This record gives sequence, C-alpha cells and structure tokens, in this order.
Amino acid sequence: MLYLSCDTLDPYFHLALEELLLAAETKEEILLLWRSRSAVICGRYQNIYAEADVLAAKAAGVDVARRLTGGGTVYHDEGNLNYTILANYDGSGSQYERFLMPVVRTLRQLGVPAETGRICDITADGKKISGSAQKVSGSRILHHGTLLLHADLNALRRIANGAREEYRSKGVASSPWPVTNLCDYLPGMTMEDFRRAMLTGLTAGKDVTTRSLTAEEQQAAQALANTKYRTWGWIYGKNPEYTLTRGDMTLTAKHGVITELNTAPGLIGCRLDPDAPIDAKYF
Amino acid sequence: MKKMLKYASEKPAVLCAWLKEPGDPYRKGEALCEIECDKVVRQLTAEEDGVLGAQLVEEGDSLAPGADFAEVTAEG
Repeated sequence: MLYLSCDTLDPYFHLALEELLLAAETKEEILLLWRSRSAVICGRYQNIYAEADVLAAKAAGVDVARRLTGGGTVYHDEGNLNYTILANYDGSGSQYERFLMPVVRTLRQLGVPAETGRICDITADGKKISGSAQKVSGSRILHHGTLLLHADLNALRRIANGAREEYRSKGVASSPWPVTNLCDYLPGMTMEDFRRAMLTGLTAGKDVTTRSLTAEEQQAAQALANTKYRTWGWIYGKNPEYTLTRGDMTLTAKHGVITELNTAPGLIGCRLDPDAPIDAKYF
Repeated sequence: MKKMLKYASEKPAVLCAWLKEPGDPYRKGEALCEIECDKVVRQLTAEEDGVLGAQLVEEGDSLAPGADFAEVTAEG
C-alpha cells in the first residue's frame, strides 16, 4: 500500500488528485487521509441547488464543489477527516463492506461503537459519523468517505440542506440522516492524533510505503483542479435538468442554463451562476 | 447487424449521462454511458465495436435489470 500525504486544504485540488490517481496505471492500493477548508460537495449527478443552500455557502465563504463519485451531498471543514482508498476492482458489485470494515474496526479499537448502516454509512448509536461513495473505472475502484471528528454540525445542517421540496429533478437525491461528531466518543483527541490512529488502523498488516506528492503530481492535480473542478462548467454546468417552483414562478434549467421561466422569459438561455446571481429567487 | 444492448446487472440503477451520441462509432471497451447504483458511479462499456443508434433511456431515468438501454449497429 502507498500512503500519499498531502496537507493542502483545497478541496478542488483533492478532488482532482483523486481523479488522477484513479486513472493512474498501477495495481497498487493507495491511501489518502486529507482535510479541506469549509466546503459543501455534491455527488456527481446531483442537483446542487436542491441539495445545498448554495447562496448561503457563498455568503459564508464556503467552497461549493462537485465530486466524481456518486451519492449525496456532504459538508467538509477542518474538523472532518476524509479517507480515500484506490484499489483493484474485480467487477463484483459495490464492495462497500470491503472498504468500510477496516474503518469500523479502527474506530472500535479507539472505543467508538461504530457500525455500518444503510449502504455506505458508518454510525455510532444510530447517528451518522461517516458517509462514503465510490467510482469504478475499468479495473480500479475509488472509495472515499468522511469522518466527522469535530465538524461544525450547525453549518452542516444549514448549508448541506437545499430546499428540496421546491425542486423536481431527475438528479440523484441525498438521503439525510442525523449526524454526530466522533469527539463525543473521543474527548480531547486532536485531529493529528486521529489521523495517526486512522493511518495505523487502515494500514495494519500491510506493507506500506509513505511519501509526499511529487512536484509533477502536484502540478497535474492543480492543473486539473483549475480546468475542471473549480469551473462553473463542472460545478453547475453538470447539474441535471430540474424544475423549481417558488410562488408563481416556475423555472426549468438544464446543465446550469435556464430553459423555461414563466415570470421572465427574457432570461431563457441565461446561465445560472451563484457567483453572479441574476436574482436569489432563481436559486 | 442491429441489436439491443441490455443492462445486465441485477440491481436497478440511474442512467446518469450518455457518453456517446446517436451516430457515434465506438470500439470494444469504450464507455457508452455512466450509471449510478448504490452511490457507485460506473460506466457501461461496449463488448464489441459498433455505432450507437438510439438512446432508449434518457439521462436521469431509472435503468431496470434486463432493460434495453440502447439500439446499436454491431460490427461483430
């Protein structure tokens, strides 16, 4: 197993790095343990406006991002530790147990009553402490997940929560569940101690090589972050078609562009850009 | 030879994105579309060379086990 250490808090960089590692020609298992600054990150095929309060995120300086794996919307901040594992895939289904059980065992060894729940969650006393998602590409699989150590759960509930009832969409919907922080079970544990404990647990019994990213890898990830993951075209332009009904207004948009709008047909064809909002009511 | 491509998995999925448009040629192993099932995104790839005819499932629609999802002209 290769453990790649990377200390940047840029969520877009990490999403790009994951994509590059998934495409890399290797059969080696790779582990990342990383954090990001505050960010709300939707799944690949979600309607980001139904899943997150995007304008509130922007106003609060929270990054808005879209990842390449499936599943629902998550909120990251520096109190959350993400783990990413890239491994060989033999074509036999989603394999969540394969990746979740080492995490569960490690948490139990720390004294957390961790259990797997639903398809890809980890819970403690019925509350979610970790969500995960996957992408398969050829003979490789990427599995990543969150671990809420001391995240701002009020911000999570406020921002990773769109006005779903106002939207009709073919996008994949999140499945909200009550969340809690691991610090409830690990009082006083610092993030660095937690990272070290997860690293020990997830590499137990394996022959591990540890290194930092090379300059070339950093440049490649930064370039992909800039040309894809930071762009309007990816974050909002990949939004599936949806209809927003709000009062008398009915708005339909596809791939981030208004296709129907009964109250202002002159805006048909306009791009919906939260960084330059036409009007907040359209989001 | 015209044929239908079937979704061969036992679990229903969502067809998230077409990666080929009608009329596009493709080679064996190329991805035709992306699907999501159980929060896993993966691609349905071609088992032989061909040309995509009709997309029988729209983006965002469910894909049932055994459902036809594309009409193609296979070169096999």
